[in-house]
Amino acid sequence: MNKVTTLVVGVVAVLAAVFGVVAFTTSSDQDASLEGASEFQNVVVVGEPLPEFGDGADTAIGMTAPVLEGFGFLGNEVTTTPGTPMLLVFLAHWCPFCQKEAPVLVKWNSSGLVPENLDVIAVTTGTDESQPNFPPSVWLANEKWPELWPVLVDNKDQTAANTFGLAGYPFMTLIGSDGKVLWRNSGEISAEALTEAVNAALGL
Amino acid sequence: MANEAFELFFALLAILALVGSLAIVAARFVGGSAGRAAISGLVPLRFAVPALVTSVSMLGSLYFSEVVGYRPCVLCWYQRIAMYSLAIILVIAAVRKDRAIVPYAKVLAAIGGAIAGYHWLLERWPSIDTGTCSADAPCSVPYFAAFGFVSLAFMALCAFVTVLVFLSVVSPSSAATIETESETVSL
Repeated sequence: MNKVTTLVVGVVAVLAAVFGVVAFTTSSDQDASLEGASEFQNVVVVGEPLPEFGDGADTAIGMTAPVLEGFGFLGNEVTTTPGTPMLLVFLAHWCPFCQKEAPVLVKWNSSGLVPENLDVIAVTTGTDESQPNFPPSVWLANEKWPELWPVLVDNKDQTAANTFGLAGYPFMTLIGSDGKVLWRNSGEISAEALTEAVNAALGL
Repeated sequence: MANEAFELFFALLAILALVGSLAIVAARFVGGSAGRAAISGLVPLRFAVPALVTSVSMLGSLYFSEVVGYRPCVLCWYQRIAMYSLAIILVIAAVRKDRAIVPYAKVLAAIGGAIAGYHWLLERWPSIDTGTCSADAPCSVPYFAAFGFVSLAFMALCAFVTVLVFLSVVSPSSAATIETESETVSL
């Protein structure tokens, strides 16, 4: 080997060793959860699952939506019992589109555009400690998620999400007062488009 | 904890590879006679460094997917096709000192680099793609980003750039050209 080669090999070897020492002696802090919050909760499904949402006509429209019996971050019971129109919003903390959608929904709440008697329930799903923006409890608290909009926490198997046919995040399902599916949407949606779609589905 | 250590370690190696490659390019085109002499000195490493870089990249990607559990998205798989092929070809070329593989390796590195570059841009600006995160492995969400920007896609991009630089800039024909230019200048 010539001098240049020897020098380069030596420098690279030393730097690699230094990097290894730096990397393995550097500690990191764990993200702190809200006190008493659990980022995964048990979920019980009553009813038949919906088909997966996909391209083309949505075959779930008109089907009876399954009922989710679960809990919020602090163990409070949250159930999607039919009776009033309900919008389920499935959110993953790590998804950049959910991170953009959350403040849109918060503004939607304060805009006066939300139809009267429409219940909105967030479902945190796809939760993953190794992904950014964990934990979802802190994320939604920082977004000032409306207190009147309950949050149902999905389990590690994403039972709630899979039951409603989620194929991507964010995902929304509108359920009528009779418990039938009126509308589903996958992906980001503006407040205006959401208002239009929900009003049209509810016949307002 | 160990995962984070490996993430940081590989991120630092990727940055070292990229900085080294840029230094080589700078030395070749604006480094004067000293730069040109340094390039000539690197010719014996022409296959060894790309072979090492692609092999480490291959092993690193397998560690993150098979040990840590990070699922590769579709763009990751396309990059893996290029990277794993390059690792095998370049190791053999380094042992046999076979220059005939250079055009094939350059094509693979260019394709892999283009995909890695697009993937990294998608991670930085997800709105380039659709407004939905796939429920499986979404390409727009990096599993980690050391120093805020060094994700797995960025590391792959650094590796592909290193391969292209060593196969294109650090070459015997380039060294011969450099020596010829030096002789011409001397005359």
